[in-house]
Amino acid sequence: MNESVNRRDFLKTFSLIAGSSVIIGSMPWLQGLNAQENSDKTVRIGMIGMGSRGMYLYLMLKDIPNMEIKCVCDDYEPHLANALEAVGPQAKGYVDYRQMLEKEQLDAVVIATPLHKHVGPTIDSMNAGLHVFCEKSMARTIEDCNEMVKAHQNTGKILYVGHQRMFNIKYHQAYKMIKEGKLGDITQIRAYWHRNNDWRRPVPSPDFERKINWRMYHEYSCGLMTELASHHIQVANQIYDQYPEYVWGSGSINHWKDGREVYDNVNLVYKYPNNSHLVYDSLISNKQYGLEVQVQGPKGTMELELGKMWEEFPPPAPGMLSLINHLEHKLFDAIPVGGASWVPDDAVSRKGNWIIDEVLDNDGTKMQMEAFVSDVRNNRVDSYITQQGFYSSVATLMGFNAMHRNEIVYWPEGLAM
Amino acid sequence: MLKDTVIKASRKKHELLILLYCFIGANIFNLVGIIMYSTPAKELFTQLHVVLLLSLVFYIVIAFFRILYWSVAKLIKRSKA
Repeated sequence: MNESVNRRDFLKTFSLIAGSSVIIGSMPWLQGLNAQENSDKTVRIGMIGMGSRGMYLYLMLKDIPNMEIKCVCDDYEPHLANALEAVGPQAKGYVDYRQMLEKEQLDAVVIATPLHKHVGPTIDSMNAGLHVFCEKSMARTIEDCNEMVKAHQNTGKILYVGHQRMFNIKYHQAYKMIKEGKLGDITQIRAYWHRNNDWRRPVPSPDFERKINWRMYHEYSCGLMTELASHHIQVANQIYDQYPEYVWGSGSINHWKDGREVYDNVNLVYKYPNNSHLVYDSLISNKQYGLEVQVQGPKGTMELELGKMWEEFPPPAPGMLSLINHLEHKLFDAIPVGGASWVPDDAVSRKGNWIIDEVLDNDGTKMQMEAFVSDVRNNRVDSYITQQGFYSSVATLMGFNAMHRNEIVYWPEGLAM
Repeated sequence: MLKDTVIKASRKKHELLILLYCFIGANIFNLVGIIMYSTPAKELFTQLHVVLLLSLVFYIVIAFFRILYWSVAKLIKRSKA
């Protein structure tokens, strides 16, 4: 069996963190990376949607052994031309994905179209007997997400949703530590994603405005929610092992007043059944704090993007060092004139510990594509990854609806998979 | 030309003895820390690297005061002469 170096590195690092087989055993969607391949069969893939994300996925796919990109499809000519040039003459180009499905002999498709165009190719491909990798979020509406899940269940075909943190080794170690109770029962997750750019792309003519800048319009996108928040909501769902009961929040356009419809800042609180919360905010007018997922419990805190953990009550320093520290404070600290009646709750300034020592230079996307190709080759269908994509997409859309309607939005009754 | 300096055996013994006192002093310091902060007794051994470092610090501090004493004494002697 041929394996890429990255996959080997991933598994090697996994073996370094305690009990790799135990972790993989408890995370069935990783079986594709760990299991022996049943054959050397070449997996034939068609790619639908060759914009920036589609091209990124192509770069993650192209070096996977025993995998061939047979064709690419995009209804925007410059994207299609760019993709054909990158993939090479062996790949055919299509403007209409239906024609591609009809003419090509494929095993799977990778879909990275604009959000509102996920549902059609996904369902049609599964109905045509193909496995599907679909970028997150799943779809523009909860109804469409549900239809995609039904197609997955009816056809028995793989439906991956692009939540690459499920394949990020740092996150796996964090989940393991959280399950072991290192932070205690998780009481709150705070997450944010801050950038400072307008997201607007240049258009060759005003006719292409809505096609190129689809992220700006409600008809096609929920902006920050579907583009960014869905990742962190998936992480929260996975940590709580639940989906949220309800959400409320507020969003507005307070900086990029350029005719866009989607919010440029969003603020939400998700309530989970175990009385825990996800507090989330995102904006594109300040990048000071970047992005982070802070997981908090009575015993400690983890910052998952950074990959660090802080204990609430760390083991005491050796006696001698405490004594030296004490004498140092006695000798050099300023003498307070009056006793403080109130001590400010300053943030803890300890350095914390790295969640794992060895960090692979990969956000998980490469591993996710490797796992997808392996699962396609071995016809290994696992619904957990679909479920995670489904629940995070529904929660993401609930968040958008809560802000848009200015009301508390509850999880749709009976919606589950 | 630099002068040849001779370090006598008695001087070496004297310096080693000071270093030993410093080491004992650092161990006592460690013991006080363990008692004061109720930390595990095994720190008597696990913190040996810090004890050695502290011994060296003590020795350097003592050396500083000794050099200061010699310098002042030499100055007084010279002024009297």
